[in-house]
Amino acid sequence: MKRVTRSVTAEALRDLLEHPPRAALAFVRDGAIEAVPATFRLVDGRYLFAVDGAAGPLPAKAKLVIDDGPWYFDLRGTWMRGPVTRCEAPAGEDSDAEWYELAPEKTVAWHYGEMRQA
Amino acid sequence: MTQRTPDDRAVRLFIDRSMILRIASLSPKGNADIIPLWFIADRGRIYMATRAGNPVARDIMTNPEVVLLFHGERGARRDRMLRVRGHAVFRTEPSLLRRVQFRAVARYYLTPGGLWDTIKNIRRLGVWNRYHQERAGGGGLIEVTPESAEFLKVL
Repeated sequence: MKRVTRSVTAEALRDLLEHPPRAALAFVRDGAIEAVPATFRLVDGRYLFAVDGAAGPLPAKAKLVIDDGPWYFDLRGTWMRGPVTRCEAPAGEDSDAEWYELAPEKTVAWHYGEMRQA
Repeated sequence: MTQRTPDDRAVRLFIDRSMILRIASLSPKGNADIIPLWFIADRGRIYMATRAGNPVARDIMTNPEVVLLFHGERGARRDRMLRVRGHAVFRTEPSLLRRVQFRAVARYYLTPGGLWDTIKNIRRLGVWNRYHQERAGGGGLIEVTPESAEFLKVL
């Protein structure tokens, strides 16, 4: 029996990735969970983000979430998990910020406005 | 960043001006989880409705310390975010669920924005109903007791 799903592909959320209203990063530091705001940019298919230097050096892996809302059928987003590495700031962005690239090992995307039986 | 107490007036106002929070938790395998959720602030605690099978709900069974991020979307400032650290438990008492659910309906559906969203998507209400019926049972609330708060700069 077909179930209703809200899952979509990351490609279906390209406009969200190109104009993210907000992003947040979660990671583990010293065995405890930590989360910080992030600035996300999709550049040539690469997932780049910046965090405030006060966040300290990031560990090797993190999870990034980009989402939108707030009303029910506007709720959509994606999270991606994978290794993070320092990179140069994208053109036109604050080069004083600490920029990283996340290489997704797993990505999940959803859009409540695209609910359907699948 | 300046440490504040969770009952600080600026903290409470910022939470009130937020519509979605992001909750970060630590999985039993030691991985970071983070998802966005609707929430209700009630009597000094933060409540999020979800199912017991949700990864974050499973995480807090093992690692109850969580981090909440609020963006203050309904406020004028875009240059800061609120980070709240707290202790989470999963609650299923019917009276608590009813109270929080009532407030959630009022906040997210019975407002001009929520009503308009429902009207625009009235043709989707059938599949919306089936979606929730398929997932009935096992529902509850992640209850977070805030322990500290701080405003962070958004780049």
